[in-house]
Amino acid sequence: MKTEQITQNQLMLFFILYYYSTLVGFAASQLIYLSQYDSVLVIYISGIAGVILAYFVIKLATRRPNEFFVHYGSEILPKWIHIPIMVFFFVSFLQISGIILREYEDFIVQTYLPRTPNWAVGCMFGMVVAVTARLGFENLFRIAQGLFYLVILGNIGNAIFIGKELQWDRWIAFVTNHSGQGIFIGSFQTVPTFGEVVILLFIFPYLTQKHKTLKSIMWATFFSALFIGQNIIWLLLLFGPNLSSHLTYPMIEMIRYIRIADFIQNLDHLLISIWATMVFLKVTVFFTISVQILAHLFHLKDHRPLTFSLAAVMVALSINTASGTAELTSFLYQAWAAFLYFLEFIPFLYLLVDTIKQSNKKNKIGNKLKT
Amino acid sequence: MILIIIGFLIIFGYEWTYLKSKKRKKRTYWIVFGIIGASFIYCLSTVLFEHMPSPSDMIQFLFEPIQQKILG
Repeated sequence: MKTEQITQNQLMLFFILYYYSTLVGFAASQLIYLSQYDSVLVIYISGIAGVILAYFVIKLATRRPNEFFVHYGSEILPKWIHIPIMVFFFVSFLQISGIILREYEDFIVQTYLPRTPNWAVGCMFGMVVAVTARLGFENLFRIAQGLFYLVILGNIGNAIFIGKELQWDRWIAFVTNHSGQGIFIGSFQTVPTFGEVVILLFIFPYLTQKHKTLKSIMWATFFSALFIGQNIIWLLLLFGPNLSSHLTYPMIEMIRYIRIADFIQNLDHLLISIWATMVFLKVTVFFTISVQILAHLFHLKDHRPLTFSLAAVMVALSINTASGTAELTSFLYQAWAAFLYFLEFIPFLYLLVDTIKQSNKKNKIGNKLKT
Repeated sequence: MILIIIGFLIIFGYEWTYLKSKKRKKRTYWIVFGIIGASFIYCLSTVLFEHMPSPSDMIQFLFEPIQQKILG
């Protein structure tokens, strides 16, 4: 299997889009509901937590930089523990991709394709995801690199054109309105999104200049927090916390405010199509990793023959997850964060056991040399 | 249901040609077609049994009490 194909620049640009996509598109309403004017603070706290997690993940991955986690994990933990954990990762990543796909399906069906069944949107999206996953990580990160500039142009354009609609007298609330409880609950729900940096463990062998990875992740977190923060501030200044938190997709309502010189209207289709590519990237990366885990577990030469059948499972999972948007939202609010914490803390277990094993080895060698 | 059957037949044919062109071992054929079969059964059962439990039900069952305890 070819490794070392993804440059640090591609990694950084990919992670900016990776964080930005779902937090702005799907989670903004819930975040504002929980943290009100502290939402921006919550984003920065979560970003810092994400970087701390990335530090430990990279520490574990750099010990065996060119090996795959699925393979070397059995050197750290016994096989009977490692293999069920890998199966858990496989199912979880497939489930995460299914959940994001479901959020996207609901969004498209509610806003642009009413009366279209979810499975139709899911099948179209799933097919594109399967084809991209079949092409491998290198192409996925190249796509991210190409799309990044388009996305940032869209974001800057949006920020400028919405600017004149904002109610700037609200800004003082960012200084005066704070709630410890809001910051805690908001951070609890948002940290796992930045904690999704855990995927680094599975893509590490593909990276070039591995020693720069933490730096790339730090820059990616900084820029994505900047872009997400800007969007959240714009939402709060435009709608205020109460209206923003009661809109299902406040971002699209904000984009619909754009009126350029009274003759360019309804720019939302263009901007949403750009944003949809970010969601596509996020779904694809989770899906590709889950397919790769399965291929590695079975010691297959490549993951390609598994992509289409598992993409069908992903679409089925997305439909089977919840009966409606309300059920999905309540599931995401009540249990999803705790599940993601559990998933994202598994690398800590490996790092801890590996560190103990290495120090034991060193002690044994030291004792032998003494005797 | 018919769409799922047609879709999986296409997937089966496509992967068969792919594995044949790459001259893969018999073991790979068994694994790939086993996974295609399992995927087919899962997809079909989601259509046949609308209220079939999903992994998200399991996640909710296990993690909701934990999250509620943490958040108070």
